[in-house]
Amino acid sequence: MHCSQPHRHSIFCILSPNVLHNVASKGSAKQRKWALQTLESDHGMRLMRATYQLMETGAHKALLTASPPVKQRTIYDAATGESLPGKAVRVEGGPASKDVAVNEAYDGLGATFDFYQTAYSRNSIDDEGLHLDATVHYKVKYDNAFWNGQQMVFGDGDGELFNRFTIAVDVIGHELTHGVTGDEVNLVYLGQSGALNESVSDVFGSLVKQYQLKQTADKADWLIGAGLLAPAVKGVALRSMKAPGTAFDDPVLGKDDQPAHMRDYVQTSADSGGVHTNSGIPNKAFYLAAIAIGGFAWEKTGRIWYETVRDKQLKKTADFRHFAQRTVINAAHLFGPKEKAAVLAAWAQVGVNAGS
Amino acid sequence: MKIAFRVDGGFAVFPGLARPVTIDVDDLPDAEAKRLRAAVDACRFFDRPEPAVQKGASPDMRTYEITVEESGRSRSLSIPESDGDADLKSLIALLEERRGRRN
Repeated sequence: MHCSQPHRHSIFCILSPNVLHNVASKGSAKQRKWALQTLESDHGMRLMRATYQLMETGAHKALLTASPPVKQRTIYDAATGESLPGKAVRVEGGPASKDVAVNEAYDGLGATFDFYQTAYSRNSIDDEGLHLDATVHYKVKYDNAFWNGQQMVFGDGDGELFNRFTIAVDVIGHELTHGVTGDEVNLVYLGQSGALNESVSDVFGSLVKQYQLKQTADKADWLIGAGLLAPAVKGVALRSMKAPGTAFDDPVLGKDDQPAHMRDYVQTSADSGGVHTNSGIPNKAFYLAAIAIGGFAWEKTGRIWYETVRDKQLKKTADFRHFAQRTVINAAHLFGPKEKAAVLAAWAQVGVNAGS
Repeated sequence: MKIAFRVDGGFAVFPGLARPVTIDVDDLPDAEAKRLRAAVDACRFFDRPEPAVQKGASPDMRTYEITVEESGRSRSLSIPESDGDADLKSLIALLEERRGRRN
């Protein structure tokens, strides 16, 4: 079916997004503008229709796994407003923008897609080729970035405490990994399972960066969000996986209070039970395991964690001990006794007994 | 009128920003006190329904915790940042402005 006129599509008008993306990247200036507008107006309707169709037929897995993984990114501009997704400004294969945030978002989504595809043969966030959408310039001086279950959203930062949130590829990897976790075990975002959800995002966010830089575990900085803090802030990043609790110490932001050991676990009702605080403990365990096992951290240690997130035995309400036990079992299963011992020792060093 | 304001959640925890801010509206300059009272009234803070519980629904999104005390009554609301109510957003904007940033 063809749609030759620029109009709002009805639910029955099916023009392949691939065709639209193609026009948006390779057409004339006028055609590109039309395709971008159509992608923008069609986004919500298409997503809803596709979701219902897939749920009804159940045939999507065979169809999607049959096709080779292809990146399909669209970057939108909210122009400091709150409407999502906003105006489509760059599509897959399209020319670079003059807007650095647009290009950073595009490149960060691409780096994350490539990492999951190459390292773990994962076809996008849902392993079914999900198109990756991101909105930049969300709200005015907005100090945050998040995955809303369907897309990435980035603020520009206020400039005094935070730079633009597209600046750090590991933050992009972190947010998209929330999508991966949500698609697999969906660790409950509260208490220890919530801190594990956060830690898994830090682990793979950091690995996206290490993969991009081709760094071995001993050469990586193990920081999350380096470059995101504005110049006047006393700090190097949001978190440190290598040394939790040392990323910043600033008169306005306060002092990084992440623990690195169970004896310092923070009991609090704030932040869904300290999910961004206590994630320091499993973060440190991953770092220690990666250093002990050596080499590129995504190859063995990352693989063990990735398979643990996909592990059907892992409960969505997992506490640190349960998660740790599954990593030990997966280390032995995937690699052998040496890796198993390294993972067991790493958890022991942060005060988590992962013995069964 | 007293207002306690705290931002919960977000992509990282910063103890300095997570600290609750308590505002005694009666001690503020007249113009600012008037603006805050008007914002509390406009969003019907004491009478509005509880916001839909979305905490934790989207990792790294924020929740605004606001408590208002006035004339012997008190109410606390947890407002997810995805809440689109314009009057609530105006109140939150004033409280964020009041909380201030780096001097």
